[in-house]
Amino acid sequence: MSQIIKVGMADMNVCRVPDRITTLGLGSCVGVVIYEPYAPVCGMVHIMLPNSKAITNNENPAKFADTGIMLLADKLAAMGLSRSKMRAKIAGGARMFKYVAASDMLKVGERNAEAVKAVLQSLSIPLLAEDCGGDFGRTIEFDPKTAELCIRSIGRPEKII
Amino acid sequence: MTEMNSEEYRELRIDVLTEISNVGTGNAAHSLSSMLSGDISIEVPVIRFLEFKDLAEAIDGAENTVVGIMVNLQRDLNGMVMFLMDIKSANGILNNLFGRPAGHVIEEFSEMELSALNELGNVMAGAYLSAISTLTGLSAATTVPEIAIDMAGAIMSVPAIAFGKISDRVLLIQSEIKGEGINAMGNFILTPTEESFDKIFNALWA
Repeated sequence: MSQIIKVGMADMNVCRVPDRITTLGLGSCVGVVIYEPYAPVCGMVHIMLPNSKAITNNENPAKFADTGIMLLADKLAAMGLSRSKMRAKIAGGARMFKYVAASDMLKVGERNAEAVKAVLQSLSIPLLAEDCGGDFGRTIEFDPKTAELCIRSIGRPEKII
Repeated sequence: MTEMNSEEYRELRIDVLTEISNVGTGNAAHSLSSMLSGDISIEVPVIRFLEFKDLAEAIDGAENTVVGIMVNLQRDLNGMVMFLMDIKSANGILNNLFGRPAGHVIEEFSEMELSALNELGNVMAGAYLSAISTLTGLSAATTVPEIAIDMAGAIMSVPAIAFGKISDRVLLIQSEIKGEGINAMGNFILTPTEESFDKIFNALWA
Protein backbone atom coordinates (compact mmCIF):
# COMPACT_ATOMS: atom_id res chain seq x y z
CA MET A 1 0.00 0.00 0.00
CA SER A 2 1.41 3.33 -0.98
CA GLN A 3 1.06 6.29 1.32
CA ILE A 4 1.10 10.03 0.95
CA ILE A 5 3.68 11.58 3.25
CA LYS A 6 2.69 15.02 4.53
CA VAL A 7 5.01 17.95 5.01
CA GLY A 8 3.66 20.76 7.19
CA MET A 9 4.59 24.42 7.21
CA ALA A 10 8.28 24.91 8.08
CA ASP A 11 8.63 21.15 8.02
CA MET A 12 10.69 18.60 6.10
CA ASN A 13 10.23 14.97 5.22
CA VAL A 14 11.49 12.25 2.91
CA CYS A 15 9.65 9.62 0.93
CA ARG A 16 10.37 6.36 -0.80
CA VAL A 17 8.69 4.74 -3.83
CA PRO A 18 5.79 3.76 -3.99
CA ASP A 19 4.86 6.57 -1.57
CA ARG A 20 4.27 10.15 -2.64
CA ILE A 21 5.02 13.32 -0.73
CA THR A 22 2.81 16.39 -0.40
CA THR A 23 2.46 19.79 1.21
CA LEU A 24 -0.99 21.36 1.39
CA GLY A 25 -1.98 24.96 0.81
CA LEU A 26 1.31 26.66 0.01
CA GLY A 27 0.90 30.44 -0.02
CA SER A 28 3.93 32.69 0.20
CA CYS A 29 5.99 29.72 1.35
CA VAL A 30 7.92 27.70 -1.19
CA GLY A 31 7.80 23.92 -1.48
CA VAL A 32 11.12 22.45 -2.59
CA VAL A 33 11.44 18.90 -3.85
CA ILE A 34 14.87 17.32 -4.17
CA TYR A 35 15.19 13.99 -5.96
CA GLU A 36 17.52 12.00 -8.11
CA PRO A 37 16.08 10.76 -11.39
CA TYR A 38 15.38 7.00 -11.21
CA ALA A 39 16.30 6.84 -7.52
CA PRO A 40 13.56 5.60 -5.15
CA VAL A 41 14.07 8.30 -2.52
CA CYS A 42 13.13 11.97 -2.55
CA GLY A 43 12.43 14.72 -0.04
CA MET A 44 10.46 17.90 0.38
CA VAL A 45 10.92 20.98 2.54
CA HIS A 46 8.36 23.74 3.13
CA ILE A 47 10.32 26.99 3.29
CA MET A 48 8.81 29.96 5.11
CA LEU A 49 11.57 32.53 5.13
CA PRO A 50 14.57 33.33 2.94
CA ASN A 51 17.42 33.57 5.39
CA SER A 52 18.11 32.13 8.85
CA LYS A 53 20.94 34.56 9.49
CA ALA A 54 18.75 37.63 9.35
CA ILE A 55 16.58 36.31 12.14
CA THR A 56 17.13 35.76 15.85
CA ASN A 57 14.74 32.86 16.21
CA ASN A 58 16.25 30.27 13.91
CA GLU A 59 16.08 26.99 15.78
CA ASN A 60 14.02 25.22 13.15
CA PRO A 61 16.30 24.77 10.12
CA ALA A 62 13.43 23.60 7.89
CA LYS A 63 11.91 27.07 8.08
CA PHE A 64 14.59 28.83 6.07
CA ALA A 65 15.80 28.53 2.49
CA ASP A 66 19.49 28.51 3.39
CA THR A 67 19.39 25.93 6.19
CA GLY A 68 16.35 23.93 5.04
CA ILE A 69 17.55 23.04 1.57
CA MET A 70 21.01 22.17 2.82
CA LEU A 71 19.56 19.96 5.54
CA LEU A 72 17.35 18.17 3.03
CA ALA A 73 20.25 17.60 0.64
CA ASP A 74 22.37 16.24 3.51
CA LYS A 75 19.60 13.94 4.62
CA LEU A 76 19.05 12.60 1.12
CA ALA A 77 22.78 12.12 0.63
CA ALA A 78 22.87 10.12 3.87
CA MET A 79 20.07 7.98 2.43
CA GLY A 80 22.12 7.21 -0.61
CA LEU A 81 21.38 9.89 -3.18
CA SER A 82 24.32 11.21 -5.13
CA ARG A 83 24.77 14.97 -4.66
CA SER A 84 25.87 15.44 -8.24
CA LYS A 85 22.71 13.80 -9.55
CA MET A 86 20.27 15.69 -7.32
CA ARG A 87 17.58 17.71 -9.10
CA ALA A 88 14.98 20.16 -7.77
CA LYS A 89 11.45 21.27 -8.52
CA ILE A 90 9.81 24.14 -6.67
CA ALA A 91 6.39 25.78 -6.33
CA GLY A 92 4.74 28.49 -4.24
CA GLY A 93 5.95 31.99 -3.41
CA ALA A 94 2.59 33.60 -4.11
CA ARG A 95 1.42 37.00 -2.96
CA MET A 96 -1.82 36.23 -1.21
CA PHE A 97 -2.88 39.81 -0.54
CA LYS A 98 -2.27 42.10 -3.47
CA TYR A 99 -2.91 45.72 -2.54
CA VAL A 100 -0.26 46.39 0.05
CA ALA A 101 2.28 45.27 -2.51
CA ALA A 102 4.91 47.71 -1.37
CA SER A 103 4.89 46.36 2.15
CA ASP A 104 7.95 44.38 2.97
CA MET A 105 6.07 41.53 4.54
CA LEU A 106 3.97 40.88 1.49
CA LYS A 107 6.88 40.54 -0.87
CA VAL A 108 8.10 37.59 1.11
CA GLY A 109 6.76 35.16 -1.48
CA GLU A 110 9.00 36.55 -4.18
CA ARG A 111 11.93 36.75 -1.79
CA ASN A 112 11.42 33.15 -0.73
CA ALA A 113 11.44 31.96 -4.34
CA GLU A 114 14.57 33.99 -5.12
CA ALA A 115 16.35 32.72 -2.02
CA VAL A 116 15.44 29.11 -2.79
CA LYS A 117 16.85 29.43 -6.30
CA ALA A 118 20.05 31.02 -5.03
CA VAL A 119 20.57 28.24 -2.47
CA LEU A 120 19.95 25.52 -5.06
CA GLN A 121 22.47 27.18 -7.33
CA SER A 122 25.05 27.42 -4.56
CA LEU A 123 24.62 23.69 -3.92
CA SER A 124 24.83 22.99 -7.68
CA ILE A 125 21.42 21.35 -7.69
CA PRO A 126 19.76 22.05 -11.06
CA LEU A 127 16.23 23.47 -10.86
CA LEU A 128 14.31 21.52 -13.50
CA ALA A 129 10.86 23.03 -13.07
CA GLU A 130 9.07 25.73 -11.12
CA ASP A 131 5.62 27.18 -10.65
CA CYS A 132 6.02 30.30 -8.52
CA GLY A 133 4.28 33.63 -8.03
CA GLY A 134 0.68 34.59 -8.69
CA ASP A 135 -1.90 35.38 -6.03
CA PHE A 136 -3.25 31.92 -5.27
CA GLY A 137 -2.50 28.99 -3.00
CA ARG A 138 -1.13 25.67 -4.17
CA THR A 139 -1.15 22.10 -2.97
CA ILE A 140 1.75 20.15 -4.39
CA GLU A 141 2.36 16.44 -4.59
CA PHE A 142 5.49 14.74 -5.85
CA ASP A 143 5.76 11.18 -7.06
CA PRO A 144 9.37 9.96 -6.93
CA LYS A 145 8.52 7.19 -9.37
CA THR A 146 7.66 9.57 -12.22
CA ALA A 147 9.44 12.70 -10.88
CA GLU A 148 6.22 14.60 -11.58
CA LEU A 149 5.16 17.46 -9.36
CA CYS A 150 1.39 17.87 -9.43
CA ILE A 151 0.00 21.32 -8.50
CA ARG A 152 -3.60 21.93 -7.45
CA SER A 153 -5.22 25.31 -6.82
CA ILE A 154 -8.78 26.46 -6.20
CA GLY A 155 -10.63 27.19 -9.44
CA ARG A 156 -7.69 26.34 -11.69
CA PRO A 157 -6.85 23.29 -13.71
CA GLU A 158 -4.37 20.84 -12.25
CA LYS A 159 -0.85 21.42 -13.44
CA ILE A 160 2.02 18.97 -13.71
CA ILE A 161 5.61 20.14 -13.86
CA MET B 1 13.52 41.61 32.52
CA THR B 2 17.23 41.23 31.95
CA GLU B 3 17.37 38.16 34.19
CA MET B 4 14.92 36.27 32.03
CA ASN B 5 16.13 33.66 29.59
CA SER B 6 14.70 33.52 26.10
CA GLU B 7 12.38 30.62 26.88
CA GLU B 8 10.88 32.43 29.85
CA TYR B 9 10.56 35.57 27.83
CA ARG B 10 8.66 33.67 25.19
CA GLU B 11 6.33 32.13 27.76
CA LEU B 12 5.62 35.56 29.13
CA ARG B 13 4.71 36.75 25.67
CA ILE B 14 2.14 34.00 25.43
CA ASP B 15 0.59 35.05 28.72
CA VAL B 16 0.30 38.61 27.56
CA LEU B 17 -1.26 37.63 24.24
CA THR B 18 -3.70 35.35 26.04
CA GLU B 19 -4.88 38.22 28.20
CA ILE B 20 -5.25 40.44 25.16
CA SER B 21 -7.24 37.70 23.44
CA ASN B 22 -9.70 37.37 26.29
CA VAL B 23 -10.43 41.06 26.47
CA GLY B 24 -10.51 41.32 22.67
CA THR B 25 -13.09 38.59 22.29
CA GLY B 26 -15.38 40.40 24.70
CA ASN B 27 -15.08 43.54 22.63
CA ALA B 28 -15.66 41.58 19.42
CA ALA B 29 -18.93 40.13 20.72
CA HIS B 30 -20.13 43.61 21.50
CA SER B 31 -19.18 44.97 18.07
CA LEU B 32 -20.74 42.09 16.20
CA SER B 33 -24.01 42.45 18.07
CA SER B 34 -24.36 45.99 16.80
CA MET B 35 -23.54 44.95 13.23
CA LEU B 36 -25.69 41.84 12.87
CA SER B 37 -29.33 41.29 13.65
CA GLY B 38 -30.72 39.11 16.41
CA ASP B 39 -28.82 37.84 19.41
CA ILE B 40 -25.17 37.28 18.73
CA SER B 41 -22.93 35.46 21.15
CA ILE B 42 -19.25 34.62 21.05
CA GLU B 43 -18.06 31.69 23.09
CA VAL B 44 -15.09 32.01 25.41
CA PRO B 45 -12.13 31.72 23.07
CA VAL B 46 -9.85 28.75 22.83
CA ILE B 47 -6.34 30.08 22.64
CA ARG B 48 -3.69 27.88 21.19
CA PHE B 49 -0.05 28.39 20.55
CA LEU B 50 0.68 26.03 17.73
CA GLU B 51 3.66 24.97 15.74
CA PHE B 52 3.41 26.15 12.16
CA LYS B 53 3.02 22.66 10.83
CA ASP B 54 -0.10 22.10 12.95
CA LEU B 55 -1.71 25.44 12.25
CA ALA B 56 -3.64 24.55 9.12
CA GLU B 57 -5.04 21.34 10.58
CA ALA B 58 -6.34 23.36 13.53
CA ILE B 59 -8.72 25.15 11.21
CA ASP B 60 -9.96 22.08 9.38
CA GLY B 61 -7.16 21.47 6.96
CA ALA B 62 -4.77 23.44 4.82
CA GLU B 63 -6.78 22.90 1.64
CA ASN B 64 -10.09 24.02 3.12
CA THR B 65 -11.39 27.16 1.38
CA VAL B 66 -11.49 30.07 3.80
CA VAL B 67 -12.08 33.80 3.82
CA GLY B 68 -9.15 35.69 5.30
CA ILE B 69 -9.28 39.36 6.23
CA MET B 70 -6.02 40.98 7.13
CA VAL B 71 -5.14 44.35 8.57
CA ASN B 72 -1.71 45.70 9.29
CA LEU B 73 -1.05 47.71 12.42
CA GLN B 74 0.36 51.20 12.43
CA ARG B 75 1.26 54.00 14.85
CA ASP B 76 2.53 52.69 18.24
CA LEU B 77 2.39 49.07 17.18
CA ASN B 78 3.37 47.17 14.08
CA GLY B 79 2.17 43.76 13.11
CA MET B 80 -0.73 41.95 11.61
CA VAL B 81 -4.16 40.84 12.68
CA MET B 82 -5.98 38.27 10.59
CA PHE B 83 -9.51 37.02 10.90
CA LEU B 84 -10.35 33.74 9.16
CA MET B 85 -13.50 31.75 8.73
CA ASP B 86 -14.62 29.01 6.41
CA ILE B 87 -16.84 29.73 3.42
CA LYS B 88 -19.93 28.30 5.09
CA SER B 89 -19.51 30.53 8.13
CA ALA B 90 -19.03 33.57 5.91
CA ASN B 91 -22.15 32.61 3.98
CA GLY B 92 -24.16 32.43 7.22
CA ILE B 93 -22.98 35.82 8.38
CA LEU B 94 -23.78 37.42 5.01
CA ASN B 95 -27.30 35.93 5.06
CA ASN B 96 -27.86 37.53 8.45
CA LEU B 97 -26.35 40.82 7.37
CA PHE B 98 -28.38 41.08 4.18
CA GLY B 99 -31.59 39.73 5.73
CA ARG B 100 -31.72 36.56 3.64
CA PRO B 101 -33.16 33.23 4.78
CA ALA B 102 -30.72 31.24 6.89
CA GLY B 103 -30.07 28.40 4.44
CA HIS B 104 -29.43 30.57 1.36
CA VAL B 105 -26.30 29.45 -0.46
CA ILE B 106 -24.19 32.12 -2.14
CA GLU B 107 -22.51 30.71 -5.23
CA GLU B 108 -19.96 33.43 -5.63
CA PHE B 109 -19.50 36.41 -3.32
CA SER B 110 -20.37 39.76 -4.95
CA GLU B 111 -18.27 42.89 -4.54
CA MET B 112 -20.75 44.15 -1.99
CA GLU B 113 -20.58 40.90 -0.02
CA LEU B 114 -16.80 40.90 -0.09
CA SER B 115 -16.79 44.46 1.10
CA ALA B 116 -19.17 43.54 3.93
CA LEU B 117 -16.87 40.69 4.99
CA ASN B 118 -13.95 43.06 4.82
CA GLU B 119 -15.72 45.40 7.16
CA LEU B 120 -16.56 42.53 9.48
CA GLY B 121 -12.89 41.56 9.65
CA ASN B 122 -12.00 45.16 10.28
CA VAL B 123 -14.48 45.42 13.14
CA MET B 124 -13.18 42.20 14.66
CA ALA B 125 -9.57 43.32 14.36
CA GLY B 126 -10.54 46.64 15.91
CA ALA B 127 -12.00 44.77 18.89
CA TYR B 128 -8.64 43.15 19.59
CA LEU B 129 -6.71 46.35 19.05
CA SER B 130 -8.88 48.17 21.49
CA ALA B 131 -8.06 45.39 23.99
CA ILE B 132 -4.38 46.13 23.49
CA SER B 133 -5.02 49.85 23.97
CA THR B 134 -7.04 49.23 27.12
CA LEU B 135 -4.36 47.05 28.64
CA THR B 136 -1.30 49.01 27.60
CA GLY B 137 -2.34 52.56 26.80
CA LEU B 138 -0.67 52.17 23.39
CA SER B 139 -2.63 53.20 20.38
CA ALA B 140 -2.69 51.30 17.16
CA ALA B 141 -4.28 52.24 13.87
CA THR B 142 -5.07 49.76 11.16
CA THR B 143 -4.51 49.83 7.44
CA VAL B 144 -7.41 49.31 5.04
CA PRO B 145 -8.41 45.67 5.40
CA GLU B 146 -7.62 43.24 2.63
CA ILE B 147 -9.53 40.11 1.83
CA ALA B 148 -8.53 36.87 0.16
CA ILE B 149 -10.46 33.67 -0.42
CA ASP B 150 -8.22 30.68 -0.91
CA MET B 151 -6.77 27.61 0.77
CA ALA B 152 -6.45 28.02 4.54
CA GLY B 153 -2.77 27.12 4.54
CA ALA B 154 -1.98 29.63 1.82
CA ILE B 155 -3.76 32.50 3.54
CA MET B 156 -2.34 31.67 6.94
CA SER B 157 1.14 31.55 5.54
CA VAL B 158 1.10 35.36 5.48
CA PRO B 159 0.76 35.93 9.26
CA ALA B 160 2.75 32.77 9.97
CA ILE B 161 5.66 34.18 8.04
CA ALA B 162 5.35 37.51 9.80
CA PHE B 163 5.36 35.70 13.13
CA GLY B 164 8.00 33.21 12.02
CA LYS B 165 10.65 35.82 12.56
CA ILE B 166 10.18 35.69 16.30
CA SER B 167 8.77 32.27 16.99
CA ASP B 168 8.32 28.72 15.77
CA ARG B 169 4.75 28.84 16.86
CA VAL B 170 1.80 31.05 16.13
CA LEU B 171 -1.01 32.29 18.34
CA LEU B 172 -4.41 31.13 17.18
CA ILE B 173 -7.57 32.32 18.90
CA GLN B 174 -10.67 30.36 17.99
CA SER B 175 -14.15 31.28 19.03
CA GLU B 176 -17.58 30.17 17.99
CA ILE B 177 -19.89 32.93 16.85
CA LYS B 178 -23.55 32.06 17.19
CA GLY B 179 -26.66 33.92 16.14
CA GLU B 180 -29.65 33.79 13.81
CA GLY B 181 -28.56 31.49 10.99
CA ILE B 182 -24.97 31.85 12.13
CA ASN B 183 -22.81 29.09 13.44
CA ALA B 184 -19.42 30.39 12.55
CA MET B 185 -16.00 29.49 13.78
CA GLY B 186 -13.94 32.64 13.90
CA ASN B 187 -10.18 32.20 13.84
CA PHE B 188 -7.84 34.99 14.78
CA ILE B 189 -4.17 35.16 14.22
CA LEU B 190 -2.39 37.89 16.08
CA THR B 191 1.17 38.76 15.22
CA PRO B 192 2.81 41.83 16.64
CA THR B 193 6.38 42.44 15.51
CA GLU B 194 9.21 41.88 17.95
CA GLU B 195 9.61 45.59 18.51
CA SER B 196 5.90 45.93 19.22
CA PHE B 197 6.06 43.03 21.66
CA ASP B 198 8.69 44.95 23.58
CA LYS B 199 6.51 48.04 23.56
CA ILE B 200 3.56 46.07 24.90
CA PHE B 201 5.71 44.60 27.67
CA ASN B 202 7.25 47.90 28.60
CA ALA B 203 3.81 49.48 28.76
CA LEU B 204 2.49 46.66 30.97
CA TRP B 205 5.39 46.84 33.38
CA ALA B 206 5.77 50.59 33.42
